[in-house]
Amino acid sequence: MNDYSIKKIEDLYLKYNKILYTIAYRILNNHQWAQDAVQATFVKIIENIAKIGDVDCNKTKVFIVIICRNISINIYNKHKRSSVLPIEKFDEITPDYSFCLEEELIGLEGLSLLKEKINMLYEPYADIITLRYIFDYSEKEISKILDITEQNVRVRLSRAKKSLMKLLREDKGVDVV
Amino acid sequence: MSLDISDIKFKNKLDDAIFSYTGLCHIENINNEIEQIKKNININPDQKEMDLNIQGLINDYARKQRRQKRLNSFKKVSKIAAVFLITLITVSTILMSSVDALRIFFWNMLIEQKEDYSTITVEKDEFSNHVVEILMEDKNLNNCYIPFYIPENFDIEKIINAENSITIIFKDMDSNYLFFEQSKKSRSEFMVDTENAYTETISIQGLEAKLIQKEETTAVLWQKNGIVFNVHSRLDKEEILKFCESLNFKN
Repeated sequence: MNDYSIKKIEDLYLKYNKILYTIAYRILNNHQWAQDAVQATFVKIIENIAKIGDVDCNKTKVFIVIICRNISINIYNKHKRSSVLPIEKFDEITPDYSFCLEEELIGLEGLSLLKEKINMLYEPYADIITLRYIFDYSEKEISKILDITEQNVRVRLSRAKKSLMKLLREDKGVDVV
Repeated sequence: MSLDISDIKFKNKLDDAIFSYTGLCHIENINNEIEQIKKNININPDQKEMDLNIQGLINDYARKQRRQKRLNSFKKVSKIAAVFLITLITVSTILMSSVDALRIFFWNMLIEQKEDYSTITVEKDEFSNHVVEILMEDKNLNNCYIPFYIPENFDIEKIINAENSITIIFKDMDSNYLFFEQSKKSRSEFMVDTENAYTETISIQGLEAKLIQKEETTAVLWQKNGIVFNVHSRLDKEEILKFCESLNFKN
């Protein structure tokens, strides 16, 4: 079991280190920070190695990309706190709609439109929705994976849903004030 | 049929379906992003440095895993050992309390140790020292018990070394006697006159003994390792008991 885990970590590194580095660099635009992000990603991968199945499967790829992206955003926020808008502040510029996703969805013309809107969703929000609804992780597990508090997980999840609704409403031409 | 979206259960299920669909779309997007990156990797890290850092992480992890494995093995063995020890103690206690032979063996074992200690203390008694030395040096007294405390002014009067018994008679200047007999007899064969006598159950060297007082004579009888001891004299009870307690095996 021990040797198997180590082999899995080594395989993950050999297979994905350049991809993770590229994702981190795109966010951070700094080689050293991007390397730090990859290293921190592997710390998280090691902590969660039991949750990772086959190295080549889509679920594994998505899982490590989500970790890497969120760690990179955290690093970016840490280094550029003054110039960046922290993710938790996003909600402050998001109008507080009365929340009824279903009504918005029914107003749309099918799933293709929904997919289009999802592609526009802020990636960390899509990440947290994926971890919760596809990977089926609890809020506690997500908090450990993303290195944020459980309270922040709840807040971010709620904002992700609101943000999705906002995108759907925009399509209907609702003015956002 | 119309859908009632005000129904809470329906609303929750629909929410879950929408968010699951969102997740699936996101997975597709990430996979597309990975494929694009693979096709066009043009940002390269300091590979050597990154490899070293990650190898360090993996080594740390391997060390922690090994330590955890050892700890788990130790915990597992400890649990088995604890269960075994508790079972052993429980069984021993039950046997000790329910089987006479074992109990006697256990007490004798303890008393043997106590006797070693007694030997040291009693030998220092200046009154009995020379008598004890004589008994120790007597080549005819082997594989038997001899006293390491002799009441004051008592000396050996006679030693009767028979086939199954040894009797040592001590006498002082006032013609007071102290009889000490040890015989390889079973308890049932030993006859004691207890008619109109005061009897008391006492402990000698941790073993049950009978004290019989008739007229002016005090007798103490007990059994140890298949040997029956009989000590009687007109001396004080305390002196006799002290004598009995001092008996020690001589090879």
